[in-house]
Amino acid sequence: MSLPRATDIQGTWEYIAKGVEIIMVKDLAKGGLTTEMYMNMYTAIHNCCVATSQTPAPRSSAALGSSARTSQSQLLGGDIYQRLKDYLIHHLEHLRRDAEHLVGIDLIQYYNQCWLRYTMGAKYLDHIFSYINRHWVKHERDEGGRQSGVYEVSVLCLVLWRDYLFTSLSQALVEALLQQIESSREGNPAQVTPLQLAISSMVSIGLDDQNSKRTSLSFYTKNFEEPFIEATAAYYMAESQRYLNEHGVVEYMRLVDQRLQEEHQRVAMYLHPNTEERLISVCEKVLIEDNQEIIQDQFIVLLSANREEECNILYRLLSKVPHSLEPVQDMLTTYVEQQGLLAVDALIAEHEGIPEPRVYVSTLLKVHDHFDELVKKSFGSSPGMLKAVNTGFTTVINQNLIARPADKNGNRAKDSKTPELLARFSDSLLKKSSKNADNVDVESSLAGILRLLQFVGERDAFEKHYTRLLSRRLVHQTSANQEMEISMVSRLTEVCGMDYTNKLNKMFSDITMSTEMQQQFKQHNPYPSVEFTPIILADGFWPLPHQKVEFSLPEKLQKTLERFLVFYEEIHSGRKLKWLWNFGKAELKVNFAKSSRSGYVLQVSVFQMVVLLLYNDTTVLTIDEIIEKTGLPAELAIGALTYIVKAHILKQTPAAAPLGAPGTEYSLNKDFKSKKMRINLNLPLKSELRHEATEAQAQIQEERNMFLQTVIVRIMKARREQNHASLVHETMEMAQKRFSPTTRDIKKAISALVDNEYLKREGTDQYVYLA
Amino acid sequence: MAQEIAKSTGCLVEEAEQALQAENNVVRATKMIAYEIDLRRKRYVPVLSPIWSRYAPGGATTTDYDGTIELVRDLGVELDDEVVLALAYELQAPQLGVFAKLPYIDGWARWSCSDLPAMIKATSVMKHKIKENRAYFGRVYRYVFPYIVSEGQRMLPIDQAVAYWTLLLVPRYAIAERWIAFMTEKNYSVSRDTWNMALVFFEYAQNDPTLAEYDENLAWPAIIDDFVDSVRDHPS
Repeated sequence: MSLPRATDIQGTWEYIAKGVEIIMVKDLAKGGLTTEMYMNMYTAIHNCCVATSQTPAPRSSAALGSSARTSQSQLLGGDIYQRLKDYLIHHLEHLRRDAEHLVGIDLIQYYNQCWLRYTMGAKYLDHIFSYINRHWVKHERDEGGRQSGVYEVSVLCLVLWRDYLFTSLSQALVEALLQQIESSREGNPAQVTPLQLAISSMVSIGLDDQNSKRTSLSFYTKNFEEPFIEATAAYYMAESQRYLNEHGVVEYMRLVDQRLQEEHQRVAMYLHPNTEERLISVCEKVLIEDNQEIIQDQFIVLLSANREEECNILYRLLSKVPHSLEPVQDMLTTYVEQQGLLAVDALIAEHEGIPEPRVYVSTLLKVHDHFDELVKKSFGSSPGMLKAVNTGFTTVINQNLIARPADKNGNRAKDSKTPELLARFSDSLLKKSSKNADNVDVESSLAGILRLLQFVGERDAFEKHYTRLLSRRLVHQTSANQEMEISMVSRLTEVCGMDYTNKLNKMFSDITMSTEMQQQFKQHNPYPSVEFTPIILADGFWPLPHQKVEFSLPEKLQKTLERFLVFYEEIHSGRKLKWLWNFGKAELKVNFAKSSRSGYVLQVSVFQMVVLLLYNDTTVLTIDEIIEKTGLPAELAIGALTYIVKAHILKQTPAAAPLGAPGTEYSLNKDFKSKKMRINLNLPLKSELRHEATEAQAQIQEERNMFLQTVIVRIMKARREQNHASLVHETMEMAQKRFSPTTRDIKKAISALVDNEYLKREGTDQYVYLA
Repeated sequence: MAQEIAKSTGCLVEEAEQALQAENNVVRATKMIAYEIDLRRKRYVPVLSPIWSRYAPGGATTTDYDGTIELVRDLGVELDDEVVLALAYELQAPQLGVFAKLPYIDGWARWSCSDLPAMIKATSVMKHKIKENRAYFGRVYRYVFPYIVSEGQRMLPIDQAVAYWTLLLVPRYAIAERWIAFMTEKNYSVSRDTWNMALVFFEYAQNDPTLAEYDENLAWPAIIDDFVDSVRDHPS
């Protein structure tokens, strides 16, 4: 078949049309276009466009107008282009007619089939018509822009598909697609490929108005995504109501969890990735947000039944909806509070009163462990949930019945005892004791204390008690393990800060220096008549109250003491020493008892020692003689006698009289008997212990008041002027780290400052700083 | 500011406040007041000096005990009358039982009194004013603290405070007796702030006699919080 004449447009088209028909319609599997024909078609189009340049064919006046300025060969391309367009329209209408009676999957299949065939053909056409693309189309588009209605052939094909086929089929097609999707939601296995193909075709024909070479998603969004999202919302709305009624909340949560996964997969399988966000958010809204109260209400039920997995689902679902976890966090806080307080109540019931600190601490730790674990397992270590637990646990630690016991009128103690109990427990752990044989146990208990300490509101109270007990351990040398002490202090730094632990470290260094000094003194004084181990403590670092006591030290001891003073003066000239007699102790070897030949060793206080040494010279003394010879104040002398008499080392006559009553006599008990060779008489009197604890509490109060005043002055110094509410608020914030002051505490501090003219009241609620 | 002007010129704090409001400038206000006082003194010093010398013989600028008693008696009032405190305020008496010459002259000059009968008349006006005018009573009341407190002291012993509260507050405020009993029992000394705020609190309590609405989050001194607690714990 020879090529048509270049000037014969009709002939040329007819020549090409045969090829076009093959490209667009014929079953390519049975042999498509030959290479020769392909070349010929291309050449025919080329010839036609080039050859007719001398005889312009009239097309339209507008086209003529533009031809005046440009090469006329391009005008002719228009005729061929128009004929191709007409052909394609005709072809598409034919395809559409065949689709009219189809529905459901059949329609989708048919549509896809046409689409595949059509797009493949379009690709060939684009090549064959590429000469027209490059010249005539380009020219027309440059001139007329996007109003020209002229497209490159590949684009033209898509535009025509959209306008002559898709538009009229779209409703039925989308309906069919949605039906398929619903059916897959119902659990019927869906055919993925047809859906994927049909849906992606909508993306392909979504041409961008601005740039025909690009596609725009808005066509897909409008024609498919929107109806799809609407259908999804409606479907899940119905399903959630039905399912909740039939299966209850827990099963519903499982369903939602599964549904969300499915929808994610759906996007991956056959939707455009852009749809994911909208799809998931509508699912979350309908499935979770709209039912959040029902889900939230289930929380406590699951929590108290210890259903970790379901708690986890609930948490994961609600965490997808902003703010919906807040009520759950509040519930969790309350629940932790209840459980913790109940655990402590149970503990009290079990021990019929306040148990020892060890048990108290381990109960609190158990509660904390339980919820800590829960946050890890069920709530993905979420900071929000952890905070909820911690808030609840803080209440447990500071408010439980052991921390703030009720008096008989049901009034709760103002200050929490927990800090003191923690300090006392650490003391019992760090002290020499047969109970603490296992270091590992001690280590882990100390770690537990540190953990609880983070929740203690009144940290300053803990610090106070800890310092006090540590000072006793150091001075009385009852600390079990120096290393453990130091490691505990360094860990306390994290919780209490450097300022605090620096003070403790100073105490340790005092002890170390004293030990060295004792060595030196021993060398200096190699043959002592009595062993003397003085400890020198820095003033102001030790919470050991100095009690000024006048009494007469036995001559032997006095000499040693003087020797020491001379020695000390040589190393540290000019330092003043105050003796803390009330913290001194001694060991006496006694041989008075008939029951033991080797004698006994008595561990005594300095005052007890002074009393007992009197019996080197005599065997019986009246109370007045004891007071006179020792020079001790009566109260201390009687205190010293308490345990000596109790242990039957001295006998009182008359026995029935109160201790130290006028005229009582104390004689050495030669019949004294004891199984132990070492007898400790240096026990604190009950009244002393009580006094110490209340003293410490009073000191804490005083220090707090001073601390608040300092904070207020600092604030006012910076601000010069401040109103009452803001001042209270700011002070509260700054104090929080150490303890939680009440408004009243702060007001007392303010009043004190106003009364002492550091601040002045201006009007009724404004304060001014007076420099 | 007003207090500083009052201190430097010898006028009343209230006068200084008024002048400040009118002038809105410290220097001009001070000048204006000083000018007025100067004018008044030119006129009244010659007239009032002879009367003054009856109470403070020998050119003394302050009265002694006898002089003070005579000064008050001449005005026709008893020493334990509360109007004496209004007089102390008006004549800016520097401390308890003592009047000073210049403030004495300034004070009467403000009242335009140039002889004893006029003073007696003014005194009876004061007596009326302190009874009827709450704001005026407040000014006198606040003046009483620095007036009666011993020199160099910040705190007023409770006995002394109670004596003046009994005189000034008990006739006026229902809750005053309760307050006095509370303070006596606690044996607290009284600071100037407590003294001043007590009056603010009594005014408040007029409208809330059961103290049900009392809000301890407001700037009341802590001591008043304690008092309210005790009233609430033992309502009677």
